[in-house]
Amino acid sequence: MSQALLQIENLKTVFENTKSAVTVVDDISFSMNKGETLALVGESGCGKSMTSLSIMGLLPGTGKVAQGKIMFEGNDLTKKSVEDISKIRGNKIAMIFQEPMTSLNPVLKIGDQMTEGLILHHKLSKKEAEARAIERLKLVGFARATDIMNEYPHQLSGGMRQRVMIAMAMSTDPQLLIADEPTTALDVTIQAQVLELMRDVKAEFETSILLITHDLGVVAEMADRVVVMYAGKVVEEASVFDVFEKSSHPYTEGLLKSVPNLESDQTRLYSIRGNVPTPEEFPIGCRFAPRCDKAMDHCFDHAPDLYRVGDRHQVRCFLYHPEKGTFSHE
Amino acid sequence: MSNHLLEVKKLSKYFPIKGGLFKRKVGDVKAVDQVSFYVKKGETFGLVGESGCGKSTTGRTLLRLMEPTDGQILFNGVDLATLKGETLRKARRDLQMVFQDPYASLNPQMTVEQLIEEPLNIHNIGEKVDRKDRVLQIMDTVGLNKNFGGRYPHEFSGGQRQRIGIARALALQPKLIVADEPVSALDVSIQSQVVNLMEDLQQEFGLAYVFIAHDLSVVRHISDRVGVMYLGRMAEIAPKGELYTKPAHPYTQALLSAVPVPNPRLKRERIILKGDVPSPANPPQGCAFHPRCPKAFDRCKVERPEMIHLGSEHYVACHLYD
Repeated sequence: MSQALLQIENLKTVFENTKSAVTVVDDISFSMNKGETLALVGESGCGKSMTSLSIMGLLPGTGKVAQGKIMFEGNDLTKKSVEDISKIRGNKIAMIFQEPMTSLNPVLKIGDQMTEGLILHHKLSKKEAEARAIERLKLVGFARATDIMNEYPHQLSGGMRQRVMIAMAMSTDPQLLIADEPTTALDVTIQAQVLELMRDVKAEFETSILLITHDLGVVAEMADRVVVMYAGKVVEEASVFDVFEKSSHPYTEGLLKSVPNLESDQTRLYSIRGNVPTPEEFPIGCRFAPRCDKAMDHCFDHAPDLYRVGDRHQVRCFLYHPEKGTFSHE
Repeated sequence: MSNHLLEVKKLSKYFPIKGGLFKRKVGDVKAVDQVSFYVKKGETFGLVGESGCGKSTTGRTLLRLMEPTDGQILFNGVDLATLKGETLRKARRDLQMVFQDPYASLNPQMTVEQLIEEPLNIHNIGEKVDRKDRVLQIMDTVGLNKNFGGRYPHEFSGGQRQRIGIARALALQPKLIVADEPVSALDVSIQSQVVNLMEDLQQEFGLAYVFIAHDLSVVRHISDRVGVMYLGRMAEIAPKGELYTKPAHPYTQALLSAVPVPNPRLKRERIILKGDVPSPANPPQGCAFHPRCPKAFDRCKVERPEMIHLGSEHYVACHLYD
């Protein structure tokens, strides 16, 4: 595992107040290799965004990493001081968010925002920083990059803003780009532009991408490997082909069957019954058991581990337990 | 044309742009520009397009939640655009709306029972004593636990709230429901529950839907016929099978090819459109799509295309087919 760029080990993220603690990310492990795109998939409240914010050291409010390691290039980020983290953040690890308008400063010109980090982190002169910024804006498809430098965020459309964010993220040649729902707020034709751009950027700079999304179409198009999360836990980890063709966890299977197909007509959509639980009400036992069609008695009071079902394919489900036969069926 | 429940003819909705010293009108945002389509009894008409294409404004204008600037909205032969006061209110019983964000459209200080009963009270339907039974019956129909009638909207999840929104629309036994992005805010697993519910209700009550959404896969699933809008205009209307397999308009073709498909082995030919949707305050001359269209020719720059009939119920506004 020496070539792993990012390795998360038993990460646990907790929000604490004086009375209680809520665990939003519970004992998560996965690793990413250089140049790999890993998709973190799940529905709202599954902990996918909190995982990425834990990596970036940007947890809001009372959130903190309670346990586990975040190994980046062999260093544990959880052990780093605030200053050290901020040197890595926006430099070796960059992040883009769902709504670019909230991450761009509305009163600063694009050029000022693009060069700020370069001057601060890379000690470039203003001129060098501007040259780099213009080069990266051209890379993300702005023909009139020099003009864009003098414009304000509100003068750009949603797709253009997201391209500026990508240019900004890529301006320091990061090894890892964390993209949290980068195209969710965009229209499909603009989404296609941005996804293509991310693929180009990855090919050119060998950047690893941690892609957080709920859109299975985007996953199929972009990812090499997939981690499926449910209620703060990893429920399945596999290559993109295995997830779509040999998905093993009943939750993954249910998700795939719930999506209407653009290519053919179905009479009725499959639906997973019930609702996504909030962190306060995560069930004991398997967290998916109350909504699972295949749940056994055993699932309701025992929590499953991750079991190996194939090459780099793991599933958190008792159906794949080596001694599954010993559990009583309903 | 007796089986046309709703027939929209050259509907337009312009918003004035005011400027200058005396706030005089200096122009119009043509949010909806001469849109025509029809909806048959008991069918689902899908309305798709990207943000700013005017699909939501069309939906709201149909119910006169916004006043149309021009055009006719014939519902069972009566032009809703001309109705006023009491007659309009009565006509509205047959047309209801479901919104994207059910939380924003439900009064947080009312219980579920009160929320569902409200339309019955407003339209004075049934005896007071019977209304409560009717509410419980509707709650059951949309899959809400009858014991939760005393709860408030914030106590429900997004999917449950959307069920409340649907129950409210259903209370008056309408003939047509305009659903504006009803599942866009919901998680995938909840989305399919609500889509299935809407299909069941359609079966049971013979409802017609105008289903407005940007998600082309969902629209394909639920619709019988689909209209594609671009910059306030209707670009193409076709039965869904035909629209998705043989899209005629270059915009429809690009839109469909842009949707990511959940199959990692499928490598599709993708038409990447250049640039962004222009502003509806200043739409391009001629065909609104021509600056982004890979197949545009000279005529497209000067002449606005009319709807061309391609056979069966397939219509397209594009000079390529003239």
